[in-house]
Amino acid sequence: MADRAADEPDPRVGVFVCDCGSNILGTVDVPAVAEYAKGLEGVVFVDEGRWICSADYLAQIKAFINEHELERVVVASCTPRTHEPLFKDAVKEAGLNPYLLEFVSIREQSSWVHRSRPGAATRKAMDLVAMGVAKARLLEPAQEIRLSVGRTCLVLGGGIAGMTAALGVARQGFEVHLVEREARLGGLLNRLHMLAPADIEAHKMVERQAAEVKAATNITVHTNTVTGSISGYIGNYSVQLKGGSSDELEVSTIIVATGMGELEPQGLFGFGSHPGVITQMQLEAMLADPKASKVDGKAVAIFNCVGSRNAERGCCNVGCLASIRNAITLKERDPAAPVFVFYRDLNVQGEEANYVRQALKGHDIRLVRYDPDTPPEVVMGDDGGLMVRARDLLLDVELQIPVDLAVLTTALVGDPSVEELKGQLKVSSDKDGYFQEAHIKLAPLDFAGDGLYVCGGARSPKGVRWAMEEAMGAAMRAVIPMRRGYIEAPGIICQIDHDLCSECGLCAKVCPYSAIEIVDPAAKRKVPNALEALCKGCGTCAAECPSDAIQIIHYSDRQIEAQIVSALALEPEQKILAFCCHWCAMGAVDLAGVSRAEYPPNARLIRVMCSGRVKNDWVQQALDLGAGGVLVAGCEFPTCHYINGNYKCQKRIERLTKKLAKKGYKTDRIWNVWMSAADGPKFVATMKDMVEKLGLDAEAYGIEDEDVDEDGDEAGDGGGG
Amino acid sequence: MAGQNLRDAYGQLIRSCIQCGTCTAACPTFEVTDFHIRRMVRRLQLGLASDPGFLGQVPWLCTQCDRCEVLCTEGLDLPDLVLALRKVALEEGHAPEVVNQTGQTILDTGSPYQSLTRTKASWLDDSIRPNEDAETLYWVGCTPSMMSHRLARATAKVLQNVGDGFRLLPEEPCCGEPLSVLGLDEAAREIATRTLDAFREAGVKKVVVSCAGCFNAFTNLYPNRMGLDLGDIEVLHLSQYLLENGDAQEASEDEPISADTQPSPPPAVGSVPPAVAESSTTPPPATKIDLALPEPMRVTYHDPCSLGREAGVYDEPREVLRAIEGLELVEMDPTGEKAMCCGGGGGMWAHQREKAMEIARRKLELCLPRPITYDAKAEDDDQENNGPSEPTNASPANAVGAMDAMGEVDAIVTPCPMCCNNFRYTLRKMKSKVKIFELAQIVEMALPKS
Repeated sequence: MADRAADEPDPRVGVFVCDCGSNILGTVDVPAVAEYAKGLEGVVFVDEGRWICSADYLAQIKAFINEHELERVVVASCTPRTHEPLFKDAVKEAGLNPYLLEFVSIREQSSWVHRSRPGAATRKAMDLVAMGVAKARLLEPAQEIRLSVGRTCLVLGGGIAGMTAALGVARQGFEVHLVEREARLGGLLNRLHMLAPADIEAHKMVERQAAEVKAATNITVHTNTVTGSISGYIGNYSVQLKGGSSDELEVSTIIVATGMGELEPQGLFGFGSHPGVITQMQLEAMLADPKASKVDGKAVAIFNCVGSRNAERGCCNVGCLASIRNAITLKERDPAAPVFVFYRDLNVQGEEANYVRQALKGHDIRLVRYDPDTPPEVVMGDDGGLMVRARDLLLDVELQIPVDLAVLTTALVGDPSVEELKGQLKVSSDKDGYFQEAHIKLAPLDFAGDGLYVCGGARSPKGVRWAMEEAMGAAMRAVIPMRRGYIEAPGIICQIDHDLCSECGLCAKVCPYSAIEIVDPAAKRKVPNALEALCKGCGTCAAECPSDAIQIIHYSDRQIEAQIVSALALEPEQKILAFCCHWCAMGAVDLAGVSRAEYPPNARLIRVMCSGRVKNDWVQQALDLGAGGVLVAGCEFPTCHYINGNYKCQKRIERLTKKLAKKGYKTDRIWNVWMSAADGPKFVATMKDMVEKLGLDAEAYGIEDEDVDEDGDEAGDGGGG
Repeated sequence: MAGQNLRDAYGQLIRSCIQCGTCTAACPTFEVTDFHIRRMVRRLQLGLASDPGFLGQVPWLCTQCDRCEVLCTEGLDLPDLVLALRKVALEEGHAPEVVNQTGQTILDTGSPYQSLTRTKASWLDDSIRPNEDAETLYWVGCTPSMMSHRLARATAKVLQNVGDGFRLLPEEPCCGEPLSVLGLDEAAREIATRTLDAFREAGVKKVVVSCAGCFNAFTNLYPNRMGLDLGDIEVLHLSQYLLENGDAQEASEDEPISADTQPSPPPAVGSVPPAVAESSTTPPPATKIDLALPEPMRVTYHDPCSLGREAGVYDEPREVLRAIEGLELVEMDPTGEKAMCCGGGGGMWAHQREKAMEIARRKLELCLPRPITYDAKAEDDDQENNGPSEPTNASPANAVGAMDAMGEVDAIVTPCPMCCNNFRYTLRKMKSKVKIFELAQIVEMALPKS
């Protein structure tokens, strides 16, 4: 495939304008827009199609590209969020680089939302096409980037999750190094007695998995070992082990399964002041020891949610089931000894709930619910024993129960090793000290960085089954790039111009994916190196770079600036220049369109992948060109598709506003609004607000508009192609 | 240590309770006393039920109506648990004195009524003509024979119209039901054995009972609680006996009427009430005697707990009522399996009469079909004033309401002497015009005039 004439200075641009049946044609004078496009610089061919996404028309586009030797293609139709891939393929099949396509949205951004002002809608469509052409003339070809990925995976942590993940990877034919800091495999399970609801002894679970791990020829186990340092990226991690093994490993992927820890409940329910107050984990150990008879015949009170479900942290996810399971064991050993379980709610579902119900029918376990505002007290009795004072909510009476043991089901927290490990892996942790996944729903087992995965108690407190499920999932995630042998990143990536670079190192610092490394971190000159395969194209580095040394392919400074100039060529004082992020702000724009929400037609929208890409220079340029208002819209906090681009953007806009205010700019023209993709109404409200507060004339482009009722009660045309 | 035994025997039941409180919501006594059955179970869950104050009071406030058992989401036999607590209280000497006294009286005299003037034969007068050779024996029961003679006489007069009439036991012991519900198991069994012996001695094969409590004792408590076998003695409720082919019918426990005779959604004003609609489409059931009331009457049927929920007889009394010409039967709401108790059961009528009557009053106010006196304008005023809402006696022209078409009932019919007595006193206290009849009484009124 030849990227024809990509380097030639004045590319031949073809424009395809869609009627979308009457979805666009019903409001926008499409023939006029097409006619207008013919006069734009660089445009050599324009065609209007009724449904340009139809298979017939896509074939026609290909024919036109060849017939007219088009080098850039502008499609003016619906929205790239749904239809861009179709046109990209068509362009590619015609022999052009797919990145030489520019998509202009004149349906969602114009015809659907300005139905009462067809003149203004047509004018806006013309502007949007002109902006698209201006950008298209500067588009450069791009390539998807490949980075090879090898066949070795490192699993950190030899507990049930780590062993399961290691087996999951190994059984698919890949090499695994399993690193465990203790002398034997098993982790937390080595300290537990019985697992509910399966009623399997914990040590049997461990023995079973450990035997399989040891039998696997492609798993190397390093016990008594931790990681000294980790560097590199997917396909290319170097790991220095220390302790029992001091190997230096070259691995392609890393699964973190380092488990969780138990909170020290100092001061809670008398812990620390009486030897009879112990933790659930200590009780587990007592029950697990076949020689121990310490608990038999004792009156026991178990207290759940100790240190959990408060302002600091949530549910421990295992305490309810563990407390009931241990209560069963106590009753089985001595049915006559009273066992109380003081709980807040029994957080068990499905099979667990059935298990608990059956257990409570079969054993005289006395459950007492307590109110966290007036929790039970464990006090020293006159005889030196323990006395529980509690209120039974169901009877509304005070209970005084002498017990021998008070067992605290304490909160589970992140393992202390998280602090050091997260530095080595360049990943983040949450406030409970657990590792933070890339996205709670979309990427629950991935870290933000490629090739790094997390499962089990390292991510959040959980039971064995859940941990094993995650481990299997993490193994699958890790195998995907290793099986394929490479990862491929889209062509929208950063490019560093080393001639312009001042070597300050800021880009490496702000990159949320560690896709820019400093060649020699110890050196004074922080020479950056872009790891293209890891770059997601958010553009935060480019926006932050003080030397304008970084460009983002398809969203370069020149391209965006050309759009700005084009957008503000006519009547800039009545216009809002809006930078919208692809994922959320444009989602809201599209939703407003689909909802046929009517709003003032003053805005001209410029798409960026992330609000983090929006340079302060652009905002200032727009103001200098006389824009009536500038809007920077991105994802609502804390959900940025590029982790934190919106936070960075907000800080920059604040800085800019201060700076420009000092210079005498009217900074009230700068608006910074955050919205989710579901916030169509918020975008509409923002448009109305800006027009009203900035005193813009919503009718400025209403050339010969007839007065139509704002409520727009004319019949809609239904969804478009 | 009886408490521990209770936890052993009833542990599964106690632990199965999820403390949802449906039982308390279903309980007739809860509204008028401190009896709180969910809390009672909770005490047992926590092992807090051995307190004499608790044992001496709480278990004795249950009417043993079984409504909680029917409605319990876990299907728990809570009335049985109450009975077990009564036994613990008796064993440990915490039961109210009157309980033991009643037990002793029944054992000594054959009835719970200590009367110097009345005997079990005092209901008999010249109009009653037993037939010593009759196949059927009429079991009168303590209350009709000693206290409510009208009921006994009505039953006897009805029976005189069927076949070769009826005969009587020379001397009736007690059926044992009052002892059984008080937890006096041994005494109950002793008196029941005496009764069975009396049947056998008299060579009885067929017994007709009108009293719901006695019927429950013979058909349910004897075989299921006391382990006594009636052998070839057939016990029929008066309603079963009166129906054509009713002799062959056993109490159909597997077909409670709950689904069928629950009032369907209230009809629109002016439409035909469901009970009437049903009787107009299905032919009236056949009885052994042609029955017709001299004056048309609209009645509703009260399910006695011991006949309905306990003995499983719901349909036959209704069929008898529907067979009576000139009688329109309308249902209460709730009715059948979920019918509310009159309040007199479980010893309440005997020992806590005021409470029993208060429960009866609540039942009448809540469940009786009646024209709804609903004044839309008055309610608007109430809302505006935000003042307390009091029922208004709207004129019929203003009255709107789904049950309007049913109208007020003329009478309540029930085949239980105790329910009858409780309702009679309560209706009188309420100054109500609604009458109360034992089933036999209304049948007697409908007997052919000769």
